[in-house]
Amino acid sequence: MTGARRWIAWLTVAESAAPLAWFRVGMGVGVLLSALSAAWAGVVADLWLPPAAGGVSPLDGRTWLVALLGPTPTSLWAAWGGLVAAGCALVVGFGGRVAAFVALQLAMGVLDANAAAGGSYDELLFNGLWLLVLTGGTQTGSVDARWATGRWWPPTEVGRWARFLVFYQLILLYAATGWQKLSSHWVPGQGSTALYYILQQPTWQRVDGARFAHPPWYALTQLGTVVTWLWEVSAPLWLWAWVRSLDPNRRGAAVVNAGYAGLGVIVHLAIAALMNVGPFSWISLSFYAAVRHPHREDATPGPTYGGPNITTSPGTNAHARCSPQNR
Amino acid sequence: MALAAGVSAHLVAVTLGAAPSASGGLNRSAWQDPTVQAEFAAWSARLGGWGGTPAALEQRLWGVAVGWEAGRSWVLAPFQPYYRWCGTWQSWKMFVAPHTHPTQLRIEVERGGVWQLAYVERSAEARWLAGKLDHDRFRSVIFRAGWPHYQPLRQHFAAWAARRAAVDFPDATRIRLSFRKRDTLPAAALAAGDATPERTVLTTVVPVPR
Repeated sequence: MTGARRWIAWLTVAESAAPLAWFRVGMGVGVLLSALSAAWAGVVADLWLPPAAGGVSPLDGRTWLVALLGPTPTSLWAAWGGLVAAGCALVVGFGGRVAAFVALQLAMGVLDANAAAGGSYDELLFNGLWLLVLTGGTQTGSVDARWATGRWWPPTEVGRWARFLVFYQLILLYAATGWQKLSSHWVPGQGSTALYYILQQPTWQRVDGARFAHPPWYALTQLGTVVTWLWEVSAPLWLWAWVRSLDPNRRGAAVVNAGYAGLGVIVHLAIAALMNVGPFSWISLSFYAAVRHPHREDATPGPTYGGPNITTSPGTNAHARCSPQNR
Repeated sequence: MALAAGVSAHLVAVTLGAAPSASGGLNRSAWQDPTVQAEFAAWSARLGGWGGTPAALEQRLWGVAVGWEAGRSWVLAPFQPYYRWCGTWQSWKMFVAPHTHPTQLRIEVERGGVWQLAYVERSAEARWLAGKLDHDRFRSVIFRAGWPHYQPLRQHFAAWAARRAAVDFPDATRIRLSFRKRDTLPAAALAAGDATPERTVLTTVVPVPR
């Protein structure tokens, strides 16, 4: 088999669509967290309207929404309402790719209008929504699935490529940020003081940073610095383990895959507890839906499992099941 | 075949887009910040003779960064529509260097000729507009406003605060935004109770509109 054919065969191995459904729910909640928390704090008009309309936005990102509708309170709140509706649709799984596309375009149209009022969590959210446009995400665990099959969680299968793209984005996030952490405070050998200094920065503090100057907290920040840096820099090793652990006989790779994921959960929970960086941890952890490989029993193929209600997504190779040969 | 081609094209686009980038930080005034200068000094010392003096290292890195960004822009040009319209930008410069000389926003309101402290970042006492300013998205604005090259943003922010002051303090005449720039102490010094050196920078005074 040629490399291209092997690549196609690998991508199109059929597997349960359930992880994609959880990823979709996570993205929907991420949209709602972004939209509703800003509305709750009363900062929507302040941040995304220009000074002439009462806000602080320099409108440095001339998004399609601003260009088309103008930076007015009416257009802003209409888009905001649409974003909340699209977020709800993603959570319940209504509207398939259309809901994801609408959420993506509204989120970019509004949030990018003031580039100063966002962070990497916006970009991660955009990437996740685009992956839902590509992959669907409502094949199961959704209103769409209920209407199509009469079941909330039909054992629908999709091609492996869908979950792979989600996981690859996670690896890209970690590796890219790790490889750019070239500060002397991050790179081992010069005190590993990065987390200590980051926690002293008033902007992102959730708790008073002074305590981290004292034992045992300071030592913990040093340990956290080393572990975080190594974990991010070596993220490609996680990708390797993820691919290898598709074969259930490779227990070592499965342990590495689980270890990286466990460490990631700890890192994100620590970030959420100690720093106010918006919905970053939630959105990041939503990508973890792609970490665990679905077992055969999660989506037993063939008519004996779901009968005529079984559906497959475009790209699914019905002949390429999760056999060891295809891992 | 089309699926594999599409997946492959996406992977190429996002992988190239995630290549390290200095964009956003490629600014001479930002490089003069003590945090950045301290990095040059630290790496110059660590590299020994290879890196040269901190100033020489800075100059060399500036040239490398400018060249790298030019090459990166050329390589990514074909993918720009995909990044722009599909939200697939890959810029993950997250806390790549801790800000060892961070700023802390202060807002003062002038009433009856006297400046009164109204808001200080993370303060438990000066809490005017804290419900808004403590939100993570306003924190992003305030973080950027604390860098010299974000002057227009600072002006917009000051004008916005003045309009808010006109509502909450009808007798206010001016507001003053400033940033306390602190030299974060090493842990041992902070634990010992040493005073944190700080100075006021980037002061902006605007009249409160009637």
